[in-house]
Amino acid sequence: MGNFLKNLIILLFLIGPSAFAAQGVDLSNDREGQTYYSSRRDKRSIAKALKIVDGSIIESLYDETLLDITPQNICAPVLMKSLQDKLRKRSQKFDEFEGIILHLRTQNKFDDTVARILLLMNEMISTKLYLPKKRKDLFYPDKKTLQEALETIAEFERRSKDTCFDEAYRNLYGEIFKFNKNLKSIHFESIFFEAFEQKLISYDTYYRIEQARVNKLEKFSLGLKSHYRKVQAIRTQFPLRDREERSKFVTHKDNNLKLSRRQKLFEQYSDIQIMLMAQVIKKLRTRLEAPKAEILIYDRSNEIETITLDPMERFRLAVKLLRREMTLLSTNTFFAGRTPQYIDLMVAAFETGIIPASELDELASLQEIWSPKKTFWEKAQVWVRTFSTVATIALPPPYGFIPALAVVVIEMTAGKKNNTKDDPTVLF
Amino acid sequence: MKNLICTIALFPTLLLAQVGQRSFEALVRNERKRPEISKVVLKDLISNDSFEGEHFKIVQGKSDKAITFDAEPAILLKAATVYYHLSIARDYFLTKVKSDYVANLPQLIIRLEHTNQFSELGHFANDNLEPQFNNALTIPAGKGLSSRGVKPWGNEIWFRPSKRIHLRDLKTNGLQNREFTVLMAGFRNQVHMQSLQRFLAVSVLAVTQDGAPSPLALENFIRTVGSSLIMEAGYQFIDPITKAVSRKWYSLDTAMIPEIIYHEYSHIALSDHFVLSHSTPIIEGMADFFAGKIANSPKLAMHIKKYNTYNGKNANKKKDYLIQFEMNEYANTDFVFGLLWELRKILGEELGDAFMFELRKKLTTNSSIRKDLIEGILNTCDEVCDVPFIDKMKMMKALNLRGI
Repeated sequence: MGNFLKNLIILLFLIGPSAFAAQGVDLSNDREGQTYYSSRRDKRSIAKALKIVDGSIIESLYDETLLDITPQNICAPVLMKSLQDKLRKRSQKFDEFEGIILHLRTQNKFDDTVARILLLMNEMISTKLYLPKKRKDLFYPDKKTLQEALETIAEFERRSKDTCFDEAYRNLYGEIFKFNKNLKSIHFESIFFEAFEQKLISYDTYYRIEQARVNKLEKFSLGLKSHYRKVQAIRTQFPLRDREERSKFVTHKDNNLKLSRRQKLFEQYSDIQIMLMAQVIKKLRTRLEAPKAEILIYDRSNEIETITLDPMERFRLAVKLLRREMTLLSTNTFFAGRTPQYIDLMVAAFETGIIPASELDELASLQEIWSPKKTFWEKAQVWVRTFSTVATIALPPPYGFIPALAVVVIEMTAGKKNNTKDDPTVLF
Repeated sequence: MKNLICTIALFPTLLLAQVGQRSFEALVRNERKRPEISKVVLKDLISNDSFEGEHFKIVQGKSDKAITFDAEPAILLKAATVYYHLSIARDYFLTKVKSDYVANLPQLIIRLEHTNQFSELGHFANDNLEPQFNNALTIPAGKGLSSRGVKPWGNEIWFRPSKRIHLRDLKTNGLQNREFTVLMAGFRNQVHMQSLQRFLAVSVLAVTQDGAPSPLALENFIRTVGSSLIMEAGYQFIDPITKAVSRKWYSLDTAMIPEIIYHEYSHIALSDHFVLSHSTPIIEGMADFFAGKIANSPKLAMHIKKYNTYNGKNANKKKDYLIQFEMNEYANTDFVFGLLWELRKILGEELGDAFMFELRKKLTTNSSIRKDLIEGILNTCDEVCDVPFIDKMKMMKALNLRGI
C-alpha cells in the first residue's frame, strides 16, 4: 500500500508538469461563427492544400507545433516557420501554406485574427528578394537621419534576440520614423541597405527586415503575442458563461476596412479599452430592460417632485445616455480622444460575454435611431427638387404646376420622420 | 305499438338535427374581399322558426322575441348576416385564442334596427330621446330596476338602422380634413416658391442678355403671377370647394358590414377585462385589431359602398402619434389598430394573436396609449415572447418611429 502511494505521487509529479507542458497555449476560436475568410478564393486555397496533405495530419502537426509554444515565447514567425518545417518534412515541395492556415481556421484551431497574423507572416516569409540592392537605385534620407537610423539598427540584432521578429521590426520602424516623420518606404530600403553594407546587420537580418518592409509589416500593429495576451486578459476579467456561443455578426466585414469587425476590435483597441467599451453596452442593456425610470426634483432640502418616465421616454433616454457615454469614452485617459464606433462597442460587449450573440443584430440596429438610413424616396427627393427648379422655368404655362405637384407628392411619399424633439408632451 | 314508441323516442332527435343548422342568404366577403350575397349555413340554432341559437338571439328593436324566418326579406338578410358573422367571430375566440370566457358566455341578445339610446338604469332610454342611427354598440349587462319593471339584462349588441344624414349635421373629429389642408398648404407654398424662382431667373436673363423680355412683360407676368394667383384663390376657397365637390350624404348600415359585427363581438369577448362603459382609444383599438384578425384583413368596413359611405379603417396606413389620440373623441381613429397590427407583424402570425389577447389583461378601458398600452405591450412580451429582449427591442424601434 505504501509503495503504491509512493508510485502514485511520483506518477502525479510526472504527469502534472507534462500535462501542463502539453497544453502549451490555447489559441482556439471561442467566439467567431462563420469565418471571415470564406471567399471562393479562400475555399480554393484550402482545397489545394488538402489535395496534398490530409486535413487530420495538418491538424495534428499544428497541435504538435503548439506544444513548443508557451505564453512567453509565443511568436507568429516562429510558429509559422515551425509549422512550415513540419509540413515540408512530409512533402518537400509543399508551399500551400495559405490553404493550411485557412483550413486550420475552419477547424476552429484559431480565430480570424490569428489567421490574419499567420497569413501575413506566411506572405512575408514566402517573399523572394534579390539582395543586396544597388546603391545607385536607392533614395537616401538626409545624412543626419541616416546616421541616427544606422545607430538604431546597429542595436537591432542584440535587442531582438528575446523578442518576436515582427514586434522587433515594428519597434525599429517606429524608432527610425521618430527621427524624421517624412520618411517613406524607399528611404527605409536605403537605410537597411546601408546598415548591411556597413556590416551593422547580417545578411539574414537584412533579408528578413527587407521582407518585412516589402510586406508593410509596420502597418499591422497586432502581433500574435499581443493578441493572445489581450484575449487572455479579457477571459480572466470576463470568464465566458457559454463557451459554445459563436456569432456571425463579429466576422462581418467592417464598413471602412478590409477586416472583420472582430479583427478590427483587436487590431485597434487594447484589452482595457475593450472592457471599458463593453461596460457601456452593459449599462445600455440594463437601462433598456429597466421597468421604471424617474426624475427626482428637490428644493434645498426635500424631494418635491417625482416625474415617472413613460416606456418610450425610457427607451429614448437609454439611447441618449448611450450616445453620451460613447462621447465621454473619448475623454477617458485610456482612449486619448478617440471615439469608438457603435459597432465596435457591440463587438466588445460580445467579446466579453456581456451580451449574447442572439441580441447583437437587434442592439446594433439601434444606430438607425440617430443615423437613419435614407429611403429610395428620400434620395429621390433631392433630384426631384433639383429638376423641378429647372422645370419651373422651362415648362410653359399652364404646366408650371407639374414640378410643384411632383415635389409635394414625393414629400408626402417620403414622409416626414416623426421627430419627438418637437413634441412638447415628451421629455425624451 | 313498438313502432310508435320508437317514433316518439326518435322524434326530438330528428327535430333537433333539423333545427341545429339552416341555410340562409347573407352578405359575405368573397376571396377578393368584395361583398356579395351568398347562401350560408347558420349553426347552433335552437328554434326552427326564428333566429334563436344556442349562443345568439337576434331580435328587432326592443322586442324579446327572436326575428322569425318569415320576416320581410330585408330584415331576414340582416338577421342572417349578423348571426352568421357572429358565429365566425365566436369560433375565432374559441379556436384561435382559446378564450374560456367566451366559451362560458350565456346566450347573447342582438338587437337590430334599434334606435333607443342606452340607459344604465332602465336598459332602454325613453323613446322621446333622440333616436340613434348609423351606428352599432355593445352594452354592458345591467341589474334592472324591479320597481319600474325593468328586468336584468346581459351584455347585448345593438345595431342601429341606417339613415341618410347630411354631412353638415355629422360631428367628425376633422382629422382627414386636416390632412388634406396640410397637403394643400404644402402645394401652395411650393407653387409660390417656384413662381419666385421663375421671376428671379427671368430677371437675371433680362439683365444679362440683350433682347431677353423683361420680367414685367405681359407674357412673363402672366406666367409668373398667374399660377400663384390661381393657387392662392384655390387655397383660400378650399372649404367651399371641398364641400361643393365632395360627398354630401352619409349612411352606415352596421348590421350589413361583417367587420363591424366582428368588432362588436370582440368587445364582448374582451369584456372580461374591458368594462363596456364608454368608448376609449384602447377598447376600440383592441376590438378593431381582433375584427381585423377575424376578417383576415387590415381593412375594416371598406369597399362596401352599398351599405357604407363611411371611409372605414386601414391598419396599413401608418399614422404618427398625436397626443389627441389619447382623447375619447378620437377613440375611433385607426391609430391603435394600426399600431397593434404592426406589432403583430413583428411578433409573427402565430404569436401575434395570443400576444394581443394576453395584452388585454394588462389594460383597462381607461388605459392611455403612450403609457399604459406601451407598458402593457412590454410586460406582455416578458411573459409571452420567445426571446423577450429582442422582441421588445424590435417593438420599441417601431414605436419610436411612430413618435410615441
